[in-house]
Amino acid sequence: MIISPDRRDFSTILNILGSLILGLSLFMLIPIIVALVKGEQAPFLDFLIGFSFSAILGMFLTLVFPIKKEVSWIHAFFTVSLGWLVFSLLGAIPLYLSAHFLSFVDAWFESMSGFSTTGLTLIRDLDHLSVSHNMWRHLTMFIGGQGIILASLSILTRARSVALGFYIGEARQEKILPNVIATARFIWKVSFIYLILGVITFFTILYNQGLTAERSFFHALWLFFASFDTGGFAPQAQNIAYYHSFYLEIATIVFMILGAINFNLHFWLWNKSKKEIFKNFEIKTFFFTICSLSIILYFSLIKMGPAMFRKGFYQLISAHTGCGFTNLAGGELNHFPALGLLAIIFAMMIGGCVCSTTGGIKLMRLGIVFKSFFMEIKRWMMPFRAVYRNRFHHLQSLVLSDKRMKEAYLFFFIFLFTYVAGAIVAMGFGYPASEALFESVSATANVGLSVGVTSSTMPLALKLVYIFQMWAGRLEFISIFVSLGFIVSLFRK
Amino acid sequence: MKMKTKFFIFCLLFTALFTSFVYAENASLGDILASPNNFTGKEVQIEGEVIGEPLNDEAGVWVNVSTGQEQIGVFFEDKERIEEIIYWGDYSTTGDQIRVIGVFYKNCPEHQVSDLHLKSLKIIHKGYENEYVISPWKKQLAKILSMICLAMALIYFIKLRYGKRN
Repeated sequence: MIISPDRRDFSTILNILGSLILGLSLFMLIPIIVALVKGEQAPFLDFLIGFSFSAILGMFLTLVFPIKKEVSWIHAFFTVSLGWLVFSLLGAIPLYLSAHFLSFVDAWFESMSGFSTTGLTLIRDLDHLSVSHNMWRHLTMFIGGQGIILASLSILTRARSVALGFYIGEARQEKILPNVIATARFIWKVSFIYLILGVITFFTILYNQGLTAERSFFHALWLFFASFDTGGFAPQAQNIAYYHSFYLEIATIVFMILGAINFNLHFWLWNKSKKEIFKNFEIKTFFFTICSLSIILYFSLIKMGPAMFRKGFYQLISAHTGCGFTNLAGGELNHFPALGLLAIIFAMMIGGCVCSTTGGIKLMRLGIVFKSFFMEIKRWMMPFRAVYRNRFHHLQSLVLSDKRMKEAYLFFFIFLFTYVAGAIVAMGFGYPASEALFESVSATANVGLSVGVTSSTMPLALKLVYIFQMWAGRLEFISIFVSLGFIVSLFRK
Repeated sequence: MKMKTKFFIFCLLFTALFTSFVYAENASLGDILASPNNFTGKEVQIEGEVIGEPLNDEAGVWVNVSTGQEQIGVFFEDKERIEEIIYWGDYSTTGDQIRVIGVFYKNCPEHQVSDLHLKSLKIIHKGYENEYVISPWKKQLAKILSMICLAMALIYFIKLRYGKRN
């Protein structure tokens, strides 16, 4: 039986949404403080408007719509999918007021790209953007990467009974600790420790390169947000190529990989067994895919000479971890041979580990799809009555059950369908097939690498399609499907 | 007379040959980056705004130049040459507009990136401090929303307190 919603359900959802919007408005105080300290008057007003509007909306929803029903999973799923849309719209207000965007849709695109840790950008004249606006762009990636709802969960106490619903709604399948609130807090703790390490590392490199202490600090902080949360924004238009630093590229590779690793594995490595890294199924799959794709890339870029390693390998890691950092000059990705481009598309499609900040199909699911394929072949080769069970190691020895396989195949095909559907839309607007596929995969898998389709001059409908792909890809579809079902059931009464 | 003509023709040919080597291709940075194979290893001339700050390298210094749409790193072997640049573009400053002649590399053998190795530098326009004018409607909107926000916050906290007592 499908639960049919009524007014009380919507009142409950809007009340929770109001509380979450209030939480988001508090994050806007950070760029307000930065604007005050830096004496950036116009950006200060942009953020004051954004903060006030968000806070008013949050308080209005909380006051006018009381919680009229016990919060259930369906409320949690609906709040998550609606919440991400509303947050991206509210987050776009100060960006639009900066006058660095052609339209509000462009600012919304940027905001959704930040929150979903994609990294595709429509900003104009990034090199002259204020420090406070840059702070907000990068902060959206940190908030989104950690999970907006997760961020609020670790502070809020009211919705604890359905905390797991919010947690799963934000595309996190695995609990690290028995309690979801404790899990959320652990994720924040890990992230803050890496934040300190990351900022110190990046600061040291940048300061030695000649940036002032202040600029080194801000750039270090932003690069950490963008690498660990696999976002891909950078404070300069050239992205990582701006810095011309091999050491910085190595450091970003380390933090991109750390961000792409399952938080559960982080917990295991910190608190239990270090040997898990050598046994873990996802890590083994990652090693296999990165090696295979590196070989393809090697043969494809062999004419490039030694530059192949710095350029090719960096793009591959950036694509595989879903970060989207690039050390290439503008449009250079277009000149990659077709085979090399295909390797990068595959890397983007796969993404990182489950329960990490990356998007895409995820290594666990890809590994299960391949393992089940070989399992089926083995089964056919065995005696008719033989019972065959396949196992894999992920923190513990697990049986490759039908349920796991069904789930893996389901996500595998939903992602593939969305990649292709997005590409068809772009082809409909006249873009070549390879470019259309590249950009569609980049948006859905929340990567952010671009072959030039994403620009402020692209058709409005395509901008909206990519916004949808970034949103759906980040939430991994399920909470959106449940929400759609929730809405449809309203009309079926 | 014959000798003189021969010498004149020889000089003319030599000059033509020589200038073909030193002549910097005057293409836009967009053209260069769009078809890098046509320009790699050749001298090119670009114009653009100096962005950010000079970035130290073991054998020189990097200066990033932006045309607004495209950007490229220019490698200065002579570190002292950056002293000619006064303004570096960022939020508060519009950087110096420079004209650079240098060798473009699609895959630089020294740095393994796409870059430009400086031969000559000229400041075309000096940069300046940016002055931002805040529109009056933005000020008004910020003022009105802040006041509504404060009023709402007051109601919100009163209701929270009132709700707790009941």
